[in-house]
Amino acid sequence: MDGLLPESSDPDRTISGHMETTAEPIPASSSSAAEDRVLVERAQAGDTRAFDELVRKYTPKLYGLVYNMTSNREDTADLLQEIFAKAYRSLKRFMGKSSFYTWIYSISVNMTLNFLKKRGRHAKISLDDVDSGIQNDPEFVKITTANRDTVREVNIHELQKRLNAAMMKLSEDHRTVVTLYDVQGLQHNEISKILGVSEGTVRSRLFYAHRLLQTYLEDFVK
Amino acid sequence: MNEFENIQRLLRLKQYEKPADDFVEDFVTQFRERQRAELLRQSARSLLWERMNTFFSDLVSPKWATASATAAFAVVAAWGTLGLVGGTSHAGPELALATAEPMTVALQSQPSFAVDSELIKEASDPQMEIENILLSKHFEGDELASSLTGNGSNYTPISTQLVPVSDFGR
Repeated sequence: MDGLLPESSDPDRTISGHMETTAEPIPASSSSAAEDRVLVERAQAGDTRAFDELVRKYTPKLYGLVYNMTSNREDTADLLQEIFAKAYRSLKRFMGKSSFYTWIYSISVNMTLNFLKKRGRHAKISLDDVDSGIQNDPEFVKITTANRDTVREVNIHELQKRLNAAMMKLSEDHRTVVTLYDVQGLQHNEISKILGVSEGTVRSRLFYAHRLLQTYLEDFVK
Repeated sequence: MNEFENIQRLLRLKQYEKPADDFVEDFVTQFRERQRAELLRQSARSLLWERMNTFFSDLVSPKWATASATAAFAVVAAWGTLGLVGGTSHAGPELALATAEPMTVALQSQPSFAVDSELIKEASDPQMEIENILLSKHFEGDELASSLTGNGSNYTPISTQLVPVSDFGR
């Protein structure tokens, strides 16, 4: 499959297991890519319902990407409309050299980065609700228990606020790789294709971003 | 063990931040509406362009369709522009000349001004005076008045003899 690979294909990825069940960022199966190809061909022939299917399929994934880069849900919804509108207008030029998923992701990342440049640093944070499933997540339980015993009680909203504030402190390039790798679960080679940079650059940006985040969120990761 | 494992685990908790359940369906509906609105907003020019492209793609090979449509579009645009410029430049001197000529000649040379053409013909008759012509038009359809203002040799200056129609029978 040209494009996105299964998560397990990355030997560097050390985190797997429970968190992957909460979201499925990568359409790893070849049937998904084949399904996309059919939908794209139908959409290119003028079948708007086929494109609606693609919108329905990729909205949750792209929402996660844009939301985690902007930390503003209203901006995310607006931007996502622009992204799909642009993809629809450019669909005839899509030759299928990469998977639709990679293509739409590239459009989304580029448009979001352009948006962030225009918006500047005075962004208003507007966050989504946190799914109640987080309370059963072992990582969240661990963090809250550890803090309850020691410094203070951590609630969901405080954690959410801190995580988003820390993300917003990163530069746009670093935030992008963190979103794609840590939150969305993409592989280094996939991120490299989407961003049009080398895998080495992706790794180095990730390393630097992780180091900064570790400083910003020190009290949670001790 | 990855030295950043803890921070990576923490960041993964961001996956729990999700929009409302009905977000996707609402979003797709909104997207469809937007697409429809964009189609309606498509300008007449782009529609013309699209149709020309389609027309030429049927006539010639597809790779020449855009080039042919561009050429045709340019010709139409140039023809329209030159026609407009040519029309105004010719009208200029004629209008200037008309101001220097008698009214009747000017009216004849500019038929496009929607002037009564019969009136122009009558006015061009050197034997007729403009006052009589205008009065005869005014009383057109009234037999008595017509006989009084009559044409040709029986003509009598109307200014002294003509009685307004409304005053007959008083």
